[in-house]
Amino acid sequence: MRGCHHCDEFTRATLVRQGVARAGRGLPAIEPGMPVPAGTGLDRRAFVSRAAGLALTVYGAAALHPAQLDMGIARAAARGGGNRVLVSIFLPGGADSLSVLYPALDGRYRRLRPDLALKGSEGPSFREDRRLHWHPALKPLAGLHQQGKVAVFPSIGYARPDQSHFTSRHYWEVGALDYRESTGWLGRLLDVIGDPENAMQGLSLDGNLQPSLATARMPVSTLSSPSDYHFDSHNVWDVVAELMGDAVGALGGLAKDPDPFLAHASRTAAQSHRLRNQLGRLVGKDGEVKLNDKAGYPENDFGRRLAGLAAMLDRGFPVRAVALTGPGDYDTHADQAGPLGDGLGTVAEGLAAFQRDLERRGLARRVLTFVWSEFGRRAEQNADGGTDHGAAGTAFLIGSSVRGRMVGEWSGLQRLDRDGNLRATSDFRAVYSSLLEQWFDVDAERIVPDARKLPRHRLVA
Amino acid sequence: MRALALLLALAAAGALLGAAQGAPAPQRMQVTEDEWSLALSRQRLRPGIALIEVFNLGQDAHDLVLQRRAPGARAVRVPRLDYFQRRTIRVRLAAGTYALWCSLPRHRERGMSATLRVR
Amino acid sequence: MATPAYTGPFGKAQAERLLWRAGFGPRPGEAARLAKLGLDEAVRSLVRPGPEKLVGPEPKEDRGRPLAPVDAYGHDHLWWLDRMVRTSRPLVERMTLVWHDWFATSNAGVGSQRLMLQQNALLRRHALGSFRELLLALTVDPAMLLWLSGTENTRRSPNENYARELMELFTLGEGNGYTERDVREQARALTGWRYTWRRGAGAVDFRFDRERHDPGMKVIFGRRGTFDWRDACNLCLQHPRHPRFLVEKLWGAFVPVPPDEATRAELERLYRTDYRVRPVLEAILRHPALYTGPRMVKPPAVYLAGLLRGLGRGVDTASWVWLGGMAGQRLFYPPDVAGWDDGRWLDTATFRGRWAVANYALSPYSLSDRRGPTVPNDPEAIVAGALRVVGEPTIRPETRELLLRFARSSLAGARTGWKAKAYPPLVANAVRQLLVTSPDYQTC
Repeated sequence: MRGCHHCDEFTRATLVRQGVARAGRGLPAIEPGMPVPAGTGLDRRAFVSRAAGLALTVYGAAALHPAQLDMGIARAAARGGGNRVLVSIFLPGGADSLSVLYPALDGRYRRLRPDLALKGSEGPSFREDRRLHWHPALKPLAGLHQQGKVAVFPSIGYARPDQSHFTSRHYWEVGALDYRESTGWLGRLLDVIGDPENAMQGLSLDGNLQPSLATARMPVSTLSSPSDYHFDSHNVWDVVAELMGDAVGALGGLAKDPDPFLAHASRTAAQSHRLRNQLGRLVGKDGEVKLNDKAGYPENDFGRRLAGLAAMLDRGFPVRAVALTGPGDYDTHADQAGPLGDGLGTVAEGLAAFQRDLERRGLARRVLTFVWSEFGRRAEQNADGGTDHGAAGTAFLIGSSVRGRMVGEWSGLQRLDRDGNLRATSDFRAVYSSLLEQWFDVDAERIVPDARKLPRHRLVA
Repeated sequence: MRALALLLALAAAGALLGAAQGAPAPQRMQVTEDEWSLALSRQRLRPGIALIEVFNLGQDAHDLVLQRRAPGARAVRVPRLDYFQRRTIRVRLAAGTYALWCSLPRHRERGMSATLRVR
Repeated sequence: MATPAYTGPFGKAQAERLLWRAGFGPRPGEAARLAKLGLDEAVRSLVRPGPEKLVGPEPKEDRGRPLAPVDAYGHDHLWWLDRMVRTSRPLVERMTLVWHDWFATSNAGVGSQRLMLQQNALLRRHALGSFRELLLALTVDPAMLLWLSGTENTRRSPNENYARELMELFTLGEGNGYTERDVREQARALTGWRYTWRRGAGAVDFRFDRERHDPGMKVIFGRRGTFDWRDACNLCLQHPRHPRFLVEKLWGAFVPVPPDEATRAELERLYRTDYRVRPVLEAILRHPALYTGPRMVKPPAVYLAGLLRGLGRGVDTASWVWLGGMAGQRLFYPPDVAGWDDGRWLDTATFRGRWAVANYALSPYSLSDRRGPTVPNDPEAIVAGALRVVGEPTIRPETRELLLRFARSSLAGARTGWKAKAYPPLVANAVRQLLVTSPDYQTC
């Protein structure tokens, strides 16, 4: 990515975000006026949930004892495992909306994108606006759209767009055009509808706390892979290794000893043995989360995370809001064609498999997935075969309960803004407000600051 | 996997033992980075080989440059480290005064610099 | 009147327990040797040890280089672990660990391995000595001053952090005989400490600065005076509730059930005269409750140090640093000022950590059909061999029976063919791993 002064900022923004939620320490601003990621300073604690059979890092639950955390999850599961779920997938870097849906026959498009323009025959046509075609790698998503399971936002953003990754992403995460806001929009939702005992209601699937889930009061957590809970022994393999696992359980069976601490040590061995067996059911012989072969998940982290999520929902885990970063790097300042196609392809395959899996398991009507990026990219390509930061981007809402209609029209190339960027025809905060009311039955004004002034879209069928 | 790596490491340790016992152990120093300071675990080293561990305890990413105050002296650079990352470099130190600093924009001005004497 | 002493048989099993509770477990043969001394001499050898000798191979990092405890991440942990493994004065080292947990200071807040190691030396110096001297030295120890905001506590802007913990965690117990007003007044008494910030070196030259001290009248525990930091400590030590707090907490480090009334009163009496810890320790280590009461879960650092002592292995890899964290005890990084939660050493996460610790400890000794001695296709011999490798720890008959049963069933399908040669070493490795992760070996 040569010749790109933004990339530096993008990398630093990523690094700072990895430091989010370190206990008790505020983050210094990287640049003056830059927002601090939501969730900064939340305390966190790692624990293995016996109820859920998963290793979790819990944020914002300092008042809860680990045993309470576990019981809380179990109780919440017993009460309401069948609730509606929203999954938020972030495409990092600013995905090029003019490649996601491209105006194949528009002369302006071919002039602005001499090296990057895609041909009409390459990607499936977009049936709600015949000017547009789907990026060829998004064919699986076009298929879902054909079935009425995708609401497309072809030009989404906000007024006076900010072209800093850091700032724009922050706005989307906190659901407000306010750099001082320190809780995420999903976090504030959980503060309203959540359960102070259920750390699993807000679940971050990629190791770090997603700022959109940062709460003020309720516990939320990040999930480590179930395959992390393994027991290796050097030079022990084959049948001997399997029998050894059982022997741990047998040693744990000596828990009736009258000595309380010996009994405690035995119980721990037994619990560990049981937990490993439970997790073993989610994890294959290769140590990776078992994919549902019939759903056709891609063999990568994204596929495994979605597969694991579907399995967890199926087992009744009390999850309400999920956030994760999608595969790919969309900050494509140079030579963008290849990497962009790879990223979008992996995303689309994973999403299609997830939808198939949810349908097979009878969960599809309970789950909505929202896919977004912090902005789109400049209409005109740059000299490096890439594109620079733009304004309006593309977003998708996917699921069997979605009203599969386009929201806001494609704003087109004839009237770009003064920076040469696509204009937004829908506001992400209006989407949030609509989802809060239609999917979670919550008054959006309690969560999105300007909800009163924003329109609503019918998103749920 | 880890167990295997350990065994390999142990084997390597065994192989190196003879050599390690013959030559004196290299002197070592730790540089911890934070906003906005560098702290050296020792202020003075002898000329010769030194192992320098750079450890970022700050919230932001930092790099490190080490350069003797002499015309034409070569700068040694430790690439940018994320929070809680560390890296050890092996350098040959000549007698003199060395400046250390973080070269990210404005970090040095904010206080991330230090001086090391070698004699 | 004296505290009761254990009068039952003092054999290998009792000596083993004493060595685990008052140190880091026996080296091979050590328990039997100690048993021969009898209880009194055995306890005396721990409480009044000779000059320290470090026995065994010098510590090294993975590449065979010597440790650099001040200059390399994690080497602080390795350096102390090595002392635990090689020391000839196990109780001194164990009490250093007890004080580290008692005055729990974390390098996460101090940010200097040098200052942490200086504090560690201070704890070791006073390990079996006077609690009064220890408390006074620690109150103005640089790492502690940074950790509990002692250098931010000034007459203009008092900081109650140390004052509160001084009473709540170090000398009296939570809410035990002091008020919020006492906390505020103690904070005023403790004002005056500062350091100089030197570019490139950090905080140096910790000292008392009269200008920062509040010389005014204070009222602490109902007593009036122009108290300073020494008075703050002495007032706590003279507080009528202090001796009981100290002896109960100290007792709890060695015996998992509280002392009976008479014992407690006598321990208080032993302590109260001049705040010496040694006579209290001697009484606790001779007490019947230590030998006849329930077992204790070994702290993770003790578990590993003892395993290495039993194996005769020195510190030779930096993996112990992250493995220590995984098992729940990274030295110099207690979770908070209250120290480690001894009641929660074992859960499903730390059990896995101990499993990994055991696997790493045993792996250099692991057997295969291609190297090492031939392992007989005989369950009895395999179990006996496993016990020998880790220094013949005492285990319950039922645990031994389970290990035998495992060995038998694993070897059942390996009478002939390639398995007859390949399986016995695998089974031997597995039995060792099961032995040192068994409830028997996790407790003492």
